[in-house]
Amino acid sequence: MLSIKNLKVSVEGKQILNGINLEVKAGEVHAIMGPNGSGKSTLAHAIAGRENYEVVEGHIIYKGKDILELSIDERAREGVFLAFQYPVEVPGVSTTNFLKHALNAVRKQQGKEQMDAMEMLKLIKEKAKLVETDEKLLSRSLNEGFSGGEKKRNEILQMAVLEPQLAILDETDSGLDIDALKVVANGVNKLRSKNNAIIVVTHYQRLLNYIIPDFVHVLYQGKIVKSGGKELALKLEEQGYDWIKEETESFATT
Amino acid sequence: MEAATKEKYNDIKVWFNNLFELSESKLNGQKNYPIHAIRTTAIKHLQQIDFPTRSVEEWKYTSVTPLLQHDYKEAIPYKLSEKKLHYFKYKKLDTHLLVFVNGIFNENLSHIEHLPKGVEIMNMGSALTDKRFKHTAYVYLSKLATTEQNAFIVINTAFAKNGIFVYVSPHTVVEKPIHLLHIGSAKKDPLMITPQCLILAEDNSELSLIETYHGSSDNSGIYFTNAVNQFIAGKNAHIKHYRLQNESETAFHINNTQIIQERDSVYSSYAFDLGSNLVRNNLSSQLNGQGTSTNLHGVYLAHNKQHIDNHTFIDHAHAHCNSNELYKGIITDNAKGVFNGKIIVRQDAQKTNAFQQNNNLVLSKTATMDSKPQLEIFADDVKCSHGATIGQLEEEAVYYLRSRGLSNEQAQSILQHAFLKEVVDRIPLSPIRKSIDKLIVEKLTKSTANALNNLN
Repeated sequence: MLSIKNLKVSVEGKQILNGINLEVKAGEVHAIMGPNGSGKSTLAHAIAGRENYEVVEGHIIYKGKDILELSIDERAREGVFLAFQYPVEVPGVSTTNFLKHALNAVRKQQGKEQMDAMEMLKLIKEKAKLVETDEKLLSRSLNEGFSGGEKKRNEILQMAVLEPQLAILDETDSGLDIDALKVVANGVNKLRSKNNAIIVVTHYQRLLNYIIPDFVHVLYQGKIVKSGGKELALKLEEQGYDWIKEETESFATT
Repeated sequence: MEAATKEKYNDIKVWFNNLFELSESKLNGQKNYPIHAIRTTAIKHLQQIDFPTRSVEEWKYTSVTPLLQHDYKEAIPYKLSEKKLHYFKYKKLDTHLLVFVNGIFNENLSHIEHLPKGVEIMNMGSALTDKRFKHTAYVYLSKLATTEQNAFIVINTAFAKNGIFVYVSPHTVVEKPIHLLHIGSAKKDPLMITPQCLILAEDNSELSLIETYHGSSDNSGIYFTNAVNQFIAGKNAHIKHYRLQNESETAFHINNTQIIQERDSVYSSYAFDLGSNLVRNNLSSQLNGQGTSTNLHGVYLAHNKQHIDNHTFIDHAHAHCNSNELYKGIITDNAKGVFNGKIIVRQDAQKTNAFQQNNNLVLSKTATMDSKPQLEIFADDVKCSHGATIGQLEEEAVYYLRSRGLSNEQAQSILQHAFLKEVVDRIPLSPIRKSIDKLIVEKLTKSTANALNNLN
């Protein structure tokens, strides 16, 4: 589904990603971990297509096509979804109204009929139950005045409605208490299928107790320095990132 | 004033004077009517005053030169079909409807036959001869004809032949809004249209007045709507005033609205400016007693080379009065917006609450906005605040919406629409709210598409 080849990305003149290689197949869940500043969020936004991120080298092949030339919204309509670490507050636009536009944009791309307001509302309410979102929030301005947990749940709600093929969760767990974390993880798990793939970007191992990954990758200094199964996450939780840093640096010096 | 400007303006005054005489020559036996005396006084008064130049503080940001360069003729009506009119009516709103085609009252298209008891609508000429109203009508019109310094108001007074007088008797609640619907079109010569309205809402009465201005099509030629409204709100009278200006972008529009509020009265205005090439609105309220409320809401959207100027003035002369003002605008392309909100709180006006807010989005490098709050406070026990912002759309928000599949165009127009929602949501009548919302969305969609095309 996704094949990232030697991806180098710079932001505001500073190179953050230094040659990422990653293969993600349909049905898989990949976790990307790493210390602060290692480039996790940059990778997430680069896949989504953030405009001022300059791809210096490499390719992002999605469903067999290089998507580097596609804009963020074109990628979204092709089924790429990024759950933001810091969801943006949008005063004056309700979640329902927003999702209505977004889903119809995606459906248009897929050659499906536009959904009318009634059907849409029914669907959104259904999905809201999945992430235990209060219906009242749906008619309020998007993310405005939402708590941290409400914002993150709203991201998963959007994901549930849009049914992306490739979902990237950018530190969706950070700032959540254990109850909120479970709700979010539960929502994500219900959306797992053999047809879609999920990339979970996280700083903590905790989320991976609830969303069990097939693969864990460690990002350090803009490169994937280690890959493994879910046990790698546990080792990171116990031992921290220092051993990764040491290994990488000793490898660099030899 | 420079000599060249002075000379130019004198020529224009001569033009209007000749136009008046021409119109005069067509009158038969109406020369003894009181309305005629007022009009004649006004045209004489015009010769004594000047058109504004940008050296006058009140007109610093708006030049009337583009408007005055045309040789206007008096507007003549044209045939408007019921079908065409339907397009401009509020579909789900029952109103007392007065239709004006190029400023001329069209009786056949209007529906004022079911006015409730206590409400009278008549032309200004009749009001000036009606023994119940002639005194009031005379006082308010002759003031404009003799001491008014704004040349456009004086011109309106000299040329208005289809003025409307609305009377609401004490304790009368007018359930259905009164809708003054104007459609303008100049096929050949530049035309001047002079709507005039005097509303007398007596003590404890309630009234909603809708004023809408439309161009008959996107390009309706050069015409100049020069409107004057006077509202007199009696004690505890409640007036809601809706105004939609959606003229053709080839038109010019000047609207002068003056409100006099007696004690405990409430005046709320909802003003939307979407059309016209050049717009200047003067909206001013004089508070004549304690306990009044004045709520002014406005939205303006200027694109291409439109110039939209809103001047408001609230004169707090008495204690315990409240005013609330919220104007929002979006300026793009080469357009220009102006907001000047003046509030005076006089020495005796203790316990005044006066709040004013003007927020703008300026979306292109060549668009400009001048926003000037002007609070002059002479009382010491008051709560007053004002704020003006001029900004752009948040990039972060555009990115966020696009990351869910909305096109750049869609994301931008949704965010612009959201920015204006705060004002639109305050429109109490839902058919008007929905209709105006729709017009706003249409214009935003068009402007955004154009702007993005120009970028590419």
